[in-house]
Amino acid sequence: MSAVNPVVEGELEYYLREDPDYALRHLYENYRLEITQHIKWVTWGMLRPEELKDAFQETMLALVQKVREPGFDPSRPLRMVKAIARNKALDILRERRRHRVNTNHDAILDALAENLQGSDVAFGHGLLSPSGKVEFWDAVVAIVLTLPERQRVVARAFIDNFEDFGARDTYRPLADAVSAITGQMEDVVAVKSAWREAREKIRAGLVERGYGFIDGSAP
Amino acid sequence: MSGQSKQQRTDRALDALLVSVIRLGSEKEIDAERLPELTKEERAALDSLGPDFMDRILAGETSSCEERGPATDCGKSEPVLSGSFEGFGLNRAQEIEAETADELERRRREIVERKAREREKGGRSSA
Repeated sequence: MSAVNPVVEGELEYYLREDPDYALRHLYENYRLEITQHIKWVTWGMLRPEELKDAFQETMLALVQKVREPGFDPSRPLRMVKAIARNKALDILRERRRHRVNTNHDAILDALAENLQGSDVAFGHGLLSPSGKVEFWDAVVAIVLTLPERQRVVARAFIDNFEDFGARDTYRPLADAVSAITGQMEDVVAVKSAWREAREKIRAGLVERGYGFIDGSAP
Repeated sequence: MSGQSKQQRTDRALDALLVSVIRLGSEKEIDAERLPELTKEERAALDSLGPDFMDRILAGETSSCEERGPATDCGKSEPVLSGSFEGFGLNRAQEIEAETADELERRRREIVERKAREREKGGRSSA
């Protein structure tokens, strides 16, 4: 199933070409909830209500500016809006929650390769078809969003700072990363426990959804 | 990775898989029906932008938090349009929403009719 309805994209693109101001109002009236939900999803629900509102507002301001630029291309407008919303959401997460959000994929590839090489988990995931991998990603995100807030914050800090953790020195830097978000001194043991609980819930959730390779069963 | 137990290596591999799936897939899109619902407080915050939010930003009247300067604490609940809706009762807000919906529908019809006229003109001239 396509994430963005092509009929919706076509309709919005049509309006943007014919009457940009109307199109922007139409977008606001009909898609503001969806855009804000998208912001909430991108940030794992970590933004406060006022921060969500600010991220949405920043998104619409940036969109108005973009639409008025000479040579503006109105293709795939809803996808474009969500990309802007994602960037604004991550900006707020970085600035107001002092949360490091690393979008540099190259930085983590070595760390990932070192830990995945030769593992059953990587083998099982590798056997999934392209659409199967999308469904797996979908399942991971869905489970993460059900975690209690504390575990979500710790999990997010873990995932966004993974390349900084050594195999033997994970939880001190993780506690530091969580401290930066919460503004409080975080106990290393408590943070380790929170991550382990989160990971177990994700593991159990994936196995329940049929991804037995997570536990070493046949994929 | 020598010296790690099998369980530790499995845990580390799962960690890496989750990181790769989430970090490397972070720009994927998700179907709208699977997006998380907004809470009552989140909806209220969004609604606090007010029914003429688009009027204001299209007219260039609204400043973003960034434009208000580094001294502005964007973390506090300070609506950008503070004061704009003081004294507005719920009934007035509902009237404005109805007016907005009517206006949108009127503009939509205008666009569609204009396009139909252009097509008709183009068809006649090519005949």
